[in-house]
Amino acid sequence: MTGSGLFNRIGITLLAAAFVASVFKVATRVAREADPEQVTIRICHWQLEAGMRDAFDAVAREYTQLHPKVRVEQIAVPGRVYDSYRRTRLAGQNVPDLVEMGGSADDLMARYFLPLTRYVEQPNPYNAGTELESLPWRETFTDGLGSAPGLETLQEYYAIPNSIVTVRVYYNKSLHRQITGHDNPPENFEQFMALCQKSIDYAQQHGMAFVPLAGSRFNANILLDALFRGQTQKLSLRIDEEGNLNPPAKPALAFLDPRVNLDTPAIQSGLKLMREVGVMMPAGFLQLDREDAIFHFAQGRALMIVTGSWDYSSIADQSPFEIGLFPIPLPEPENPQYGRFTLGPISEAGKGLGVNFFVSRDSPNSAVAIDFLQFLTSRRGHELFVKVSKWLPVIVGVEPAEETKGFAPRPEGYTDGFSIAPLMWGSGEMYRLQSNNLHELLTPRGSLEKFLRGMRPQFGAAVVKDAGKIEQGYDENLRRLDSTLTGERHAASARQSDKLSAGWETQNQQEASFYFLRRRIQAASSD
Amino acid sequence: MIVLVLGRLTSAQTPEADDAWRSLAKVQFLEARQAFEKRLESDPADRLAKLGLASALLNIQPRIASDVERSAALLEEVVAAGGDDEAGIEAAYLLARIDQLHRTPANAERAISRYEALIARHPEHGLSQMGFIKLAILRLHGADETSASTLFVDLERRSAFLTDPSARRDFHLFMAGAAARLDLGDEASLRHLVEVDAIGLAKRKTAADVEVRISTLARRLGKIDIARNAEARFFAEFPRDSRTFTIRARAGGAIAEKETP
Repeated sequence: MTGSGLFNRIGITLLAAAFVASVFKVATRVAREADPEQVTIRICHWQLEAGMRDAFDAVAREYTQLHPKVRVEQIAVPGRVYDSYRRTRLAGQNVPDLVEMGGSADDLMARYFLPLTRYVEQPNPYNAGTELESLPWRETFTDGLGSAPGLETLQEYYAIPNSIVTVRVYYNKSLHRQITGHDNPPENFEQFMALCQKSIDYAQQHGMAFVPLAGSRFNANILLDALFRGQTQKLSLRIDEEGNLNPPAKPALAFLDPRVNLDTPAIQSGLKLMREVGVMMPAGFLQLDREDAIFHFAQGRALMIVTGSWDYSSIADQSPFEIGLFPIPLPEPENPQYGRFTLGPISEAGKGLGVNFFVSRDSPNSAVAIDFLQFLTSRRGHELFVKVSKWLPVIVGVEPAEETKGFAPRPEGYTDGFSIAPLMWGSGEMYRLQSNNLHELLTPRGSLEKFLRGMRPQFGAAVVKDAGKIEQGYDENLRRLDSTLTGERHAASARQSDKLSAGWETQNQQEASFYFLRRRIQAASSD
Repeated sequence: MIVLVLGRLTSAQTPEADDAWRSLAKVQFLEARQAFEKRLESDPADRLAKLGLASALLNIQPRIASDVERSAALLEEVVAAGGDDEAGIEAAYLLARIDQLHRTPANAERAISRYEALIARHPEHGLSQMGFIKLAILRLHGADETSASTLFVDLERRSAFLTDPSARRDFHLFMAGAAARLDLGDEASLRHLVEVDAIGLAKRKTAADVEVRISTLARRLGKIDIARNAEARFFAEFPRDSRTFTIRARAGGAIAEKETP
């Protein structure tokens, strides 16, 4: 037989095998779906990180053992196209039973998804036999679902979270030992900067090609934003008119205050700090993607990388060395250069939980979908989920996996500050203006002065424009609440009175904020 | 009280009518509009259907002036056919809201006049009492720096007629915020927050904020007992809140010395 004949036979055989496999898969699926007692729950999400799909599969298998007639199928969609995918499915009224979403507009939530309030107020049946069995499902989450989507404006719980994320500095333990001669990571900002400098010197002396910090816009966003916010902690308290110790909800609200501008010492200190640390990343890092930074770290071309708990499994799988973790070392009050603007470490308590799943209003199996969510977030289901995914738990009493204990949220810490704008995934004029000038701040040839020179001419107008968008948002909510509150007043339901009262509270608070903001904007515009 | 008063409106409703109101409550304005239009086709004099349709029209997308004007016309019809009953009062309240927020340009003065008329005619009604809060917000945020203080005192004096718990709560909450935002004094702000705390909040988030605000203001004013009581309530009710550490540090004196000018 000639070589080409052999290849043809192999090709035809493979084609036939693929055809038979396809027919089998389709036939079994059709047969399964034809079974009237068979229920298939579809769950769509964008968590393609290593471990997540395995974790959902592991929990689904356990659930199917308990409920043999139920199958759970995942639809994992890449993050960059997820939003388009989700919108298309919603518009086509072809929504999977469970849909992961981040923030969501009120009308979208109310139109396409089921309120889960009556479920979260009851105990989770899958917690029977544990110390959580008598608690409402809501209370079994580490934050009591206090920041659940829909709660503030619609007075309903619309989503069930499955994880919380924190960020840490990952470091290559072997390279760290090689450079420092010991295993102890930096304990403060000064030690961190000394390590960065020492690693630069070491690389030069030994002809090695690595940088202190792996960089990309994504990773810089996490690190530099945290550093900047540390510098505005005290400023945040100074402009906290109501005394509730919360940082401004949006940067524009901070900069609308006459006491805050680009020349405010704390703001300039934050920018200096961003520059000092930013130059520890490779040249041109603003053009790099998150995957590039992870690749550089895993290849030993960077001693450290700053990212979140969500990347742990992916990094650990790719890195042929032991990984260590330590918190982002913010300058402490004792630091002679940056200390006077900071309160200290920022608390990670009570942060909003993520990986939120919503239940489709059109789901023919919504009761089963909710039941699956209850299993997924029960003590037993969540322990399995955390063990396989290596993501952080959100259920009271569930411990993180051993190797990710370094990510456990640290409640001891002060309240947060604010930034000018994020380095990525931002929106609005302040974000656009900062993005256009960021290279002046974060590249060796730039400087703080060059950055400020680029920002100043348009900054005031950008603040007013972004504040105007917040004002529009309030206006929209107030008008919508006029109609929904009318509906609430007439819809007869036992729970309605609490909901109505909460609705009034929301509207009156937002109305006061709306007119105060309008006053501030008018004052800023006339300056 | 608002709920009790207005609850009577629902007693004679059909299941279809209840669905229409539910659609309105669930932000499904298009569905609500269709349902109320259908009811009006079968009974053009149905005042509750006019009220529901008027409410839905205010938020049909895209928002157009003719929908707002049709809404106002329907509400005027409801008022004209019996301005002093429940539906009439609700329609009068919504007409004030249209002047305040829904018309372009808004007409704050006319909205204030409508609220004042409602309060004068039905001071005991929950919606009149809510109207007083809207009026207070418009008045105080429209005031210049010299008149704000006098206006603040006047609004406090006038608030004695508020009996509805939600209205009293929201009035004191607004006044506490206004005192802080308009520099009318920590004493006034704290006084109103203590009132809010005594009445109770509907939302946990606001409840947590109120305890923190009481603690902050009371410490600033040297009223340590009030601060400690608020902090104790906060720690007991909201142990997982991210502000817990800061509040403990402040109570221990660690924050004051760190605050920079």
